[in-house]
Amino acid sequence: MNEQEARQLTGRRRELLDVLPGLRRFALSLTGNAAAADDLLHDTVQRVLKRGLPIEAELMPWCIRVCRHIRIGHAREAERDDPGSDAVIGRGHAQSTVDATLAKLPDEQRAVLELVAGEGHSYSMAAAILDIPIGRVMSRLARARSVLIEHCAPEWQAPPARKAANHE
Amino acid sequence: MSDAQQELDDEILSVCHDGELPPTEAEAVRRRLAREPELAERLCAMQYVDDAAAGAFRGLDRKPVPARTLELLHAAEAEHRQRQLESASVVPLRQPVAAQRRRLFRWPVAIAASAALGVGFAAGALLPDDVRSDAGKTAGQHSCERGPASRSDVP
Repeated sequence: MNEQEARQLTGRRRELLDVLPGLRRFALSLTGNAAAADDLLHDTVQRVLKRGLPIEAELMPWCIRVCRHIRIGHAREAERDDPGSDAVIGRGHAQSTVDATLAKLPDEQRAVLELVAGEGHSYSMAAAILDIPIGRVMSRLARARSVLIEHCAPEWQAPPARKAANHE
Repeated sequence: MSDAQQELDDEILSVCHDGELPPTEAEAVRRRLAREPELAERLCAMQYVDDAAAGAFRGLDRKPVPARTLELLHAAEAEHRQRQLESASVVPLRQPVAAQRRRLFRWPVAIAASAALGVGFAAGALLPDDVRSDAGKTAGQHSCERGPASRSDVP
């Protein structure tokens, strides 16, 4: 959308346009796949426009919550249609080792990683958005980072022998 | 190092990396980092994978937001403007300001009338007895004078 088209939007619709890129990245963090992320983004915008949002609510956290609920709903539907299928995640378009590893992470770890490392949200904000305790944000983030280090930065993995020697 | 210890270290490092550790604990981690190069390397690795992950998520920004999603916003904007136009063209049946003004006038008038009535009764009660009896007699005379006359009118 060019600037002139964007100027035609007012109020919440304009604000929604501004948060679309961040919301899209969050959708990607949930789906692990660009096409599925765009579908999820579309559904989220549609629902927010249709149902509106409470006056006191902040737009981005609210949209993220809606996005997450829709994603959970989609995953449940897909699971009901084809139990045990991993295709619901829409994985398999990995471009690199990082993408591939990110795609293999559980959705909830990827979402926390995106909110904190990607969007720069604080732990308390991420916890509020995802409606989980701060402790869970910490543990999910640490686990996600450990897996990423293991797969994407093996040179930083200290060899077990060296580790053991250091602790003797 | 056991897996559990590694996991604990990773969690502490991760929190420290995000600047969310309380100052005293952060200081303790900093001392450990100075002592243990492996831990410092691990922290660097966290920064590296964070950047890589953020880059992977931001890769999507290079592609434009799908047109169908933007159309949703434009359709909502058009609908909003239509609603505004419709609400602007409706003429209210009663002028709200005039109605409010009328409502405001009602109370003082009622209060003034009640006060006048009260003053009238009070004045009547406070009148000296002779004035009141004179007034009573005059009223009685008038009624007696008029009474038979009015009765005689009756066929």
